Amino acid sequence: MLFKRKPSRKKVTRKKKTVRKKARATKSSRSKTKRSTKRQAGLLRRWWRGLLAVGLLGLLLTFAYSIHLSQSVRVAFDGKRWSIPARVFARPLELYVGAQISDEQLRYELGLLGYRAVSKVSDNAQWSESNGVYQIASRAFEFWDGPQWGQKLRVVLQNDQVVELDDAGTRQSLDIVRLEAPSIGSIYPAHREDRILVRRSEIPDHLVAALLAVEDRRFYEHWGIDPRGLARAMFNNLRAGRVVQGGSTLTQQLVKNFLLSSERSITRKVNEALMAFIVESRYSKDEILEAYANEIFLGQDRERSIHGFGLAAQFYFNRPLHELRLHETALLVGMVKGASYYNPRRNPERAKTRRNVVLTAMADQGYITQAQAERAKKAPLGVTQQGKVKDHRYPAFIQMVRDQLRRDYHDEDLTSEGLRIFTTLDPWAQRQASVSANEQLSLIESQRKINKGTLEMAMVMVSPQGGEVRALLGSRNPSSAGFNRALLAQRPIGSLVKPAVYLAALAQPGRYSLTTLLNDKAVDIKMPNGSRWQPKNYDKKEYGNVPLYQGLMRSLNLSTVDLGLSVGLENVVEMVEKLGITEGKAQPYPSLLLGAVSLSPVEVAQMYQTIAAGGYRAPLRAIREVLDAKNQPLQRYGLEVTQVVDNKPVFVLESAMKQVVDQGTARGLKRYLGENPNLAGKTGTTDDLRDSWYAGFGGDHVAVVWVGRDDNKPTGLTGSSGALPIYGQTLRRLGYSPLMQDPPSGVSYEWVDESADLLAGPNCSESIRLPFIQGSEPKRSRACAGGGSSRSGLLDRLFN
Amino acid sequence: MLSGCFSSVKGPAPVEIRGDQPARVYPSRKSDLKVQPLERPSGVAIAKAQPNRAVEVLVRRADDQKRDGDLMGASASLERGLRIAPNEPVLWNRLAAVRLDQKRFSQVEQLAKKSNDLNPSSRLRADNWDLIANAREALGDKRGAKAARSKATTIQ
Repeated sequence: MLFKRKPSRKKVTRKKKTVRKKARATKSSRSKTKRSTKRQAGLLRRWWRGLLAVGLLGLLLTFAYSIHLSQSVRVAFDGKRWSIPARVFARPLELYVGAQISDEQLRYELGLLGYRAVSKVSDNAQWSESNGVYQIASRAFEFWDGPQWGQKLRVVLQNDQVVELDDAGTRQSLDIVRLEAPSIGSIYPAHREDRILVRRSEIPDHLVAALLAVEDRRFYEHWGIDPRGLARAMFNNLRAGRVVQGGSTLTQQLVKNFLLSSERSITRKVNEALMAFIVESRYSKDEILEAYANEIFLGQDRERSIHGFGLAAQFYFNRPLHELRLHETALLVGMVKGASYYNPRRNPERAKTRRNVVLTAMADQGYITQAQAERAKKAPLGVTQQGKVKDHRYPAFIQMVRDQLRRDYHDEDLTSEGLRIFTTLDPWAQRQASVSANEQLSLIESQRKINKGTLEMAMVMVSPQGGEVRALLGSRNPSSAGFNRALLAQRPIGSLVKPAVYLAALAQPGRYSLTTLLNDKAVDIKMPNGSRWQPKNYDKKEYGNVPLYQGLMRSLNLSTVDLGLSVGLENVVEMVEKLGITEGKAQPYPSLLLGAVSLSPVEVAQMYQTIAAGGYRAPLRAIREVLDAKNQPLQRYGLEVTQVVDNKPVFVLESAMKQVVDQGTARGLKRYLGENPNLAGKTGTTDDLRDSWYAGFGGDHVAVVWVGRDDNKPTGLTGSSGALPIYGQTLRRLGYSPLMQDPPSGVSYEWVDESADLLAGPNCSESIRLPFIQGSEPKRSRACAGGGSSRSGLLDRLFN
Repeated sequence: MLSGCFSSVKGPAPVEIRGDQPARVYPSRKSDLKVQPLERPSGVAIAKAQPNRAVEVLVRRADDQKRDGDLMGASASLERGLRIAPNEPVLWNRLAAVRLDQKRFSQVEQLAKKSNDLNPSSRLRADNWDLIANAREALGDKRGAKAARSKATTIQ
C-alpha cells in the first residue's frame, strides 16, 4: 500500500479542535443575545431559536459534509489500489565467450536498455567502445532466479563473436553474464492508465527542487492551501493580462487529479481546498509528494495515458527516473503545466523554452547555481525518437503473451498487480524479421507492379528444441495493433502439409524409404459428395516414376497424392495431429494431401517445431516466468517435451527437406545464404496463388512466413517468390546456425541412384547420398554407368 | 504447458569451481560453500569448446541448486544452458533428474529419451535408462521399470 494512515491520535485532536472552535462561536453569539432589549427579547428569542436551529442544522450539515469529504479522501488515498500494469520483458541477452553477437546487435541491445554511449564509462548504464573492446557498466536487475548485480564488464567482439568476457576492473574472466531484460511493454487496463511506481526515495532531489521552484514554493510550509502563493499568482496573472501562473499547491493539484472531475466551478474549487486541507492533515509531506509523483499526467501515447514521473522517464528518455539528469527532470517538471502543449517530441522549441524557465526558477531560488543552470540550458532535450516508443514495437507478440497469460490470470491481476512478465522475445531477431519483411515486400510490389501496400504478411520464429517464440510479426507494419495474422489468420497451408504426408510414410520403414518410387500420374477421384477431384502438378506435367525424396523436393502434387493414398488418409491425419495440430482440423479427404487445411502461421510453426526437434513436440511458449510486484516468483512456464514420432524417420524426412533447399523448390534461398545453406524447408502455394508460404528450420530456429492479401485475392506469388525471400533475407541479416548432421543410431547414409530405387557408388554420376533407417535401404545396386571407380561401383560391375 | 510451481525460489546458489581455470558465475555472492565434484554421471565430459564453458558452469550451478533443494532454480539454470546448447545431452539428462525430484515422472522419461537421442556417452545413456526406470517405478509400471533397468545395466 502506498499510503499508510497516520496514527489516529492526530485525527482525533483535529476533530476536537474543530468542535471546540464551533463551541466558542456559539457561546459568543449567545452573549450578544443577552444584550438585546427586554421588549424585543421574546420576539428575538424566538427568532434566535429559529436561527440557532438553522445554524445548528447548517453546522450539522457542514460537519456531515466534511466527514463525507474526509471519507472520500480516505477511500481514495488509503484504499487506492494503484493499478500497476504488468510489465513485459524480452529475453535478457546472454554474454559468454563464444556467443554469436555482432557489433550491430550489441549496440542495438544496449540502446534498447537505454544505456548511454560515452567516451569513458563512469557510471551505471553506460558503455564505450574502442577497437572492438566494449566497456559496459550494467544495471542491477532482479531475475526470476535471483539478482544480477550491476558491474563493469569488458567484452571483446571478433567476427561477430564474443571472444573475451571479463570484469573490467579486476580483469578476471567471467563465464556467463546476463544483461538486464529489456522492457518491451505493459498490459494496461481499459482506462489506459499506465504508470511505473516510484517511491519517495527514488525521486531525485533535483526533481523535487524543480517541482517546488515552479509549482509550489511553500510546499513544506503550507497546509494544503497557500494564500500567499495564490496572491502572487493572481498578481502575476493580472500584470500579464493572462494566466501565466497557477496558484494551486501540489496538494491541490493532486486532489484535483486524484479525486475530482475536471469541471470548473466555485463549488469544485471550494471542495478542492477543503480536501487539500484534509489530505494535509492526514498524510505527511513525503507521502503527498510520492502520490503526486505517481499521479501527475505527463503525456498521451495514442490510447494510453502516461501517469507519473516514473513512466514519463521511460517514455521520454528510456531510462529509470533516478538516472535522469538535471535538464531532463527540468523538462518533465515543465510539462506538468501542460503535457501536450509542451510535448517535447511534437513541440521541441516550446518544450525547451519551458524547460529553461524551470531551470532559471531553480537557480533564482537557490536550488542550483547559475552555472549549473546555464550548463543544463545548453543541453539538448535528449528525448528518444517517437519511433522508439516502446509499447507499440511488439503489439503482435504482446498479444500472444496476453493470450497465454489469460489462461492463468484474471484480466484485473494483469492490469493492476504490477506483475513482471519475462518472455521469450528476441528483440534483435524480431527487428531483423520486421526490417526484412518490409524491404522484401516493397521490392516484390515494385518488381511485380503490385499496388503498393496491398501485400500483407505474418511471421513466426521459434526455438526448435524448446518451442520458445523468438519473434512474431502479425503484419508488415511492426507497430500495427490490428489484425494479428500470425495468431488469427486461418489460411489453407498448401504444400506445407506435405512433410506430414511423407513423415507418415517414412515412419513405416518396412514399406517406405527416401528412394521408394512413387507414381506421378494424373488421378481422378470421386468424392463422397459426388464431385470429382482431379489434382494437377504445378506445371501441369506428369513425371511417372519418381523417388520419394524428389516428390517432396520438387513438391510434386501427383506423387504426393499417390503416396498419401497408399499410406492411408487416416495415417496422414494422425501425423498432422501428432505434430501438434488440434484434432478435427485436418479431415481425411484426399485434398488434405495437398494442403486443404486452414491453419494460422503459429499452428504451422508448432508442426515444424516438432519436426525440427526430432519428433519431440514442445508447446510453443511466449512466457518463461512471472514475478509479482515484489519480485517473488509466481509461476514458471518450464520446458516440456513429448516425443510424438520416433527420431529416425524424422531425421530422414529432414534430409529430404534439406534437399528442398539444396536443389528443390526452395533453392532460391542460395541467393540469400550462399551455395550451401544447410537448412531444411518447404514452400507452400495455394490455389490461384492466394497464399504464399515458407516454413524452414536450422539449428537455432524454426520459422514460418505467410504472404497474401487480406481480401484473399490472388497475389501472383508462389511460396518461393513471396514468403521465401523474407525468410532468406531475415536469416541473412540475423545469422543462423545450420542443421546438425549426425544421424541418430539406427540410421546410416548410403549412396543411391538419384532417380531409381538402387544403391550406387559415390563416384557414380547421378548418385546422391541419403540417410536410411537400417533395413530400409535399396536392396539392389546399379552398375555405375558413369565409369565411377568407387568400391561399390567396382563391386557392382564385378557381381551384377 | 505450465509447470505450475508456486513455491518461492531462493537466489542463485553460490558457485565456486575448483580447477586450474578459476571459473566464476556472475553474479558471485560471497560464500564459503564449496562445490562437490559432480555426482552421478560423473564421468560425463562436456566438450571443451568455448561456449560450453558457460554451459558447464550452468550445469554445475544446477547441480548445486538441486542438491540444495532449489529445484526450480535448477530447472531455470538447465533451461538457460539448453538455450545456448540445445543439443547437449548432459543438459537434457540433468533436467530429467530434476524432474524426477520434482515428481514429474512422465517428463522424466521424455527428457531422458531426448538425451539418449543426442548420441550421448554410454555412461550417460545408462544413467538416462536409470532415470527412466525410476520414473516408471514411481508410476507403478514395474515391468517397464525392470526393462529400463536391464538396459541400463547392459550398457554399463
